[in-house]
Amino acid sequence: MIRNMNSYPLYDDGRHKVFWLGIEESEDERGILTNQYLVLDGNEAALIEPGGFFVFSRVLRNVSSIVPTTQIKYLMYSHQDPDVVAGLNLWFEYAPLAKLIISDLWVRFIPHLAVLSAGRTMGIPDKGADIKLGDSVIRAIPSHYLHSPGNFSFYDERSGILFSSDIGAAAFSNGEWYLFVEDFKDHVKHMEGFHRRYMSSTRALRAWVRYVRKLGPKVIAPQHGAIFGDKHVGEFLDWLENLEVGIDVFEREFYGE
Amino acid sequence: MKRKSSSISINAPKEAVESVLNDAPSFITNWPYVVRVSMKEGLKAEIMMPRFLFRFRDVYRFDHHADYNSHIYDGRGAKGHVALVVTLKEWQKEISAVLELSYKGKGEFWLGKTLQNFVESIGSVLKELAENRPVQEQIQTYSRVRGGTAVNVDFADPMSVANFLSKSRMIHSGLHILGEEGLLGLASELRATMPDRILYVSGITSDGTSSFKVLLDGSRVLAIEHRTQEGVKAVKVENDEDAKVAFDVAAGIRGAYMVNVWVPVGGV
Repeated sequence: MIRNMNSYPLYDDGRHKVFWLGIEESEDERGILTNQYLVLDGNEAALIEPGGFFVFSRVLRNVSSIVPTTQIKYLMYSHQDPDVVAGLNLWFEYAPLAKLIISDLWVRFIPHLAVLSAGRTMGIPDKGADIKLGDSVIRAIPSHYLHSPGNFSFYDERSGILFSSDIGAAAFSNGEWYLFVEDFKDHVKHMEGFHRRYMSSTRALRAWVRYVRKLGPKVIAPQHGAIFGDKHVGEFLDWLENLEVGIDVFEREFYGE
Repeated sequence: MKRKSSSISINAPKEAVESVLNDAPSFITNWPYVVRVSMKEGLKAEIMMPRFLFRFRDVYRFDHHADYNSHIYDGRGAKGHVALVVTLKEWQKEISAVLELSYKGKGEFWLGKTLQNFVESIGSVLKELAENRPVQEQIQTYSRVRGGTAVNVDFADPMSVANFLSKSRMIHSGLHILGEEGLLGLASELRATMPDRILYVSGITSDGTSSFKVLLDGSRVLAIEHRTQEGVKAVKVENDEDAKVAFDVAAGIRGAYMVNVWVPVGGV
């Protein structure tokens, strides 16, 4: 089982810092490893994709070694999957001053996680929003239907890192893992099956690629798998643009002629 | 060649430490600066050591050798050679590990501080992995089941709180002023409207400079933590003396706090 309990700095200009917070796979979810990220600007922090219960201990330990949890201003969730949100009640207690940020679509479902979230939840409208963190801005970029109907990527303007949710997710072979993509062609085999089945719509995917090209991110950091930097950002967007996914691929298989 | 060393004491049986060291792929995956691991053709790990604005990266193919008290992880890369020797010492029931890291290759003259951090962090990883082996977890799980989850909440151990909260639901959230009676006044106020026997109550001031957590069983305090800018007071009540200290801590908490109340609901 792959388990890396360390954090790794992805960006640091003195005031603004971004950390990857380790990785691990659950016993029942072989090959699907979840990434969590921390963005820090001055005294304010945002935890991106905080994760489920079984990663909580490692994420808490790594976050606490970087910043007191009382300085976490936002818990930012791209969508509502359990591997993203299931640790919410713990983070509500351990980051007691943090507000929860998630698509407007999912705000009404949050109380099912056994928390009283009114007053601590900020719903993101469908078109996205700018979220201020210290002197910097994190933009919520619409990523709907990729794969959730209420889905956002988060773009940290200062570092140029786009946290892409499940877009770019990779399922590694048993016993293999790397943090940064180096051989894109080889990496595709880890992403293709996941994207074809989990992403809903080819049209949505191409719209997202168009939008992201305008942003010009330096790094794309997904919630599962490896991080794209340098020339691999362009290679990844080119690959996505030519990929057929979701119902466009599976309609006949699911429903027949 | 540059050498750096570190030693660490480990609160786990020697067998637990040995089992971590014998599983070289998992152990090396958890080293700091490791950014890629492959086990397809032997164990290969890419290590990216930062220094100033530079990052020294290389892919090392590792061999693992062990004798009765030491383990050697020998990594050969295209630009460098890294080797870690872990020597275990057992004295009465104390286990300690001495780690020596040597590196020869690109940037070795600049990497002294990075290598020292590297070897110290590997020591911390070894300690954490060994102290959390399943054999320890089984023993702890047994005591938790026997005593109930609430009784085992210890605010010095975040995971004991996490285990409790994962089986709880929040039933109240609001601003409260803690006056002359301190936290004890708030407890009485909550008890008047909440029938649950076990209550977990936490509070934090709006500026985050003071916070508390308390676990109540009826009118008894089971555990309490009060965190201020001066430091942290945490008490897990196990005898009359602890109960008195916990009472004093509770009585001294005053001011305006945003309070959350949780109750256990069972579950896995």
